[in-house]
Amino acid sequence: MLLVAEGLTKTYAHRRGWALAGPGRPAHDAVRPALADASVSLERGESLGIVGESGSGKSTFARCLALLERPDAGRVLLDGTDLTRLGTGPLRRSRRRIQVVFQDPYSSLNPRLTVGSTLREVLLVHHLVPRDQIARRVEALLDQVGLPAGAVDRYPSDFSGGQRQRICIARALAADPEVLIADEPVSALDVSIQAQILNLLADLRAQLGLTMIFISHDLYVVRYIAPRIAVMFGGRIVETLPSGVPLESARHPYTQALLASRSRLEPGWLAGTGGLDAELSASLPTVGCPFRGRCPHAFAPCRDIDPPARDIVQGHLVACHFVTGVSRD
Amino acid sequence: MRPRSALGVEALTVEFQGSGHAVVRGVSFEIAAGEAFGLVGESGSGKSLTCRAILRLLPRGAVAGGRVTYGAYSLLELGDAEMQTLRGSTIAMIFQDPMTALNPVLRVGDAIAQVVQSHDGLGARAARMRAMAMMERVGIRDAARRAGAYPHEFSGGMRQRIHIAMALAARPTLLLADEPTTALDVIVQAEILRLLDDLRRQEGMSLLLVSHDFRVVAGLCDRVGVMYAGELVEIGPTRTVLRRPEHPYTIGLMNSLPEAVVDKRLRAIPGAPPDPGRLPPGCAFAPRCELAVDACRAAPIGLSETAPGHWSRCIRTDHLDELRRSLAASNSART
Repeated sequence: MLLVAEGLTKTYAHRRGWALAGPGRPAHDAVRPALADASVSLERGESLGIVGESGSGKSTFARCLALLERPDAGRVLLDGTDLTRLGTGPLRRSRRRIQVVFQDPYSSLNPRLTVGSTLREVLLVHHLVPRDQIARRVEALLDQVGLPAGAVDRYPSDFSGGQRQRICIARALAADPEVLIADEPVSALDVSIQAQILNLLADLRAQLGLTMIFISHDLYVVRYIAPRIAVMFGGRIVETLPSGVPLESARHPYTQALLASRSRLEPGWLAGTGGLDAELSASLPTVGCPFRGRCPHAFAPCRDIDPPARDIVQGHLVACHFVTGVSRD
Repeated sequence: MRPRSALGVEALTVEFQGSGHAVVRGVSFEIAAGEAFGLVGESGSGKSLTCRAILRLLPRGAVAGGRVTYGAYSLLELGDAEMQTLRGSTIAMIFQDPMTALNPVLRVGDAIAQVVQSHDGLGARAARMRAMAMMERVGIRDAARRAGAYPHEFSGGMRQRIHIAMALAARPTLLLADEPTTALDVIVQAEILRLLDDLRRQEGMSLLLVSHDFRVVAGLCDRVGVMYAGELVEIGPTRTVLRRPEHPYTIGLMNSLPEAVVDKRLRAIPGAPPDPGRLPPGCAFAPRCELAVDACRAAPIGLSETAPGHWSRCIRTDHLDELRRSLAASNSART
């Protein structure tokens, strides 16, 4: 296994406001972790898709995997090295091997650096190529992401959203990563540009043998890039669909609700959706299954016991008492 | 029954003063009373400006030309006071981000009641009752209690419901919706769209829905117009346009959506939309179109009718079959 995450947990404690704090009151509210006990493993060259809605913990998961954020608990093993135990210096060197492409290509590029300087900086910081070959490497990177060589001396503001995302991808590739994490890389782009970037990512994965984690709120966008999909809700991975298993075979009630609500390019698709109350409870419960407030199948154990992920058929994991039956471990 | 009217948009143009070029270029369509019409396009296509021009809510410096009629009213010529009366009461609009449409320091019940009071002249007590009834209409349970809450106390989907309740409080006959679900999660999006659809049918309202997402329009609208570089490039019944699109850009948009197919390459449209200040002399889509020939690049292309009520701004419609085939392939793979 190239990348293994075990039991990653991250809680963002919001302190009580000053008006509510005081003697006899806890300094922090009881909050649900943004990410709870999330585990995945990837072979070299494998792709994993992560799908979930806003607040599901998918970006926190990405940030913890890349150690942009220190998880509160759990380990991230890259080629057997536990990144969470590394000190600042060794971590900085290892972090090169996991690169992230973010959603917003406008805020994630330095507007005062030319495209060439942005890429050169990465190559210099990590001592990746001899100085006399840097220019050639920059040119190759631009070519790889489909940008003209003339882009070198231009600034991010000269480019459209789709081209900026290509620059971000080139910057990630400049670090010569083994793992590429793409966090909603096409959500800020127009539909026709989205397809270009999705194709580019699929090509790069194939050409460079990259191990890729692709994150999106759209099940079908995710499946286009990654044959294996982890579905997140309320900070937990509630279902993992292995490659070869069609989306329609999803068993977790949340995944089924996502599928049922999906918009389609067919007249009248809207009539076929429904049956789930999306907003019964705006805030998630702090114990038990995070989905129970909206789940049509919820029963007593869902209130007390957070359902563990169970393998129902080879590699198809579901965390749901209703699907797997309640067990006490 | 209140009188229902048709919306007529004729040769609408929108230009930013001093720019020297139009960003909406001669857009014409009609929405019959009770009909749902969708405008699809990418950012910069002019779809939102078209929508805003109808209610004269254009950003500063933008000037509309052409003609917009709603029943007996000619909207672009109406006095400001008359327009203000019409806005909200007869024609209402909902926006993508409900937070910008709701007053953050007003309890939501009071916000809705204000609309009712100013348009119907009801007393405070009656207006509050109507506000609560409206909140229940849009699916907010326990309205009596939640009417006292502020916008920030609601989730995104609930805020959009309140925004819809406000828009519908004065019982408009035409609703304009600009990307009403774009900021929402998948499940909530479906719920809000269903709500809009139900309310529209019950009230017999006309709807103009603007979206970048063809699927959203497909679910809600009887007819659809596809915009590109400030122009309508295709317009027709939704069912027909989806089954047999007559413009290469429409086919490209449909092909760009990943469906349940693994390891099948998306047929992305190459390049990017043109800069409105530097449009090509002929068809604006020609530089990205694999079917373009010299005639496409020579002079602007007009709309021609390919089937009753179905119009396309393309002179190569006889050659679209190959492009449509890729569409048919992904369609059959989907089912």
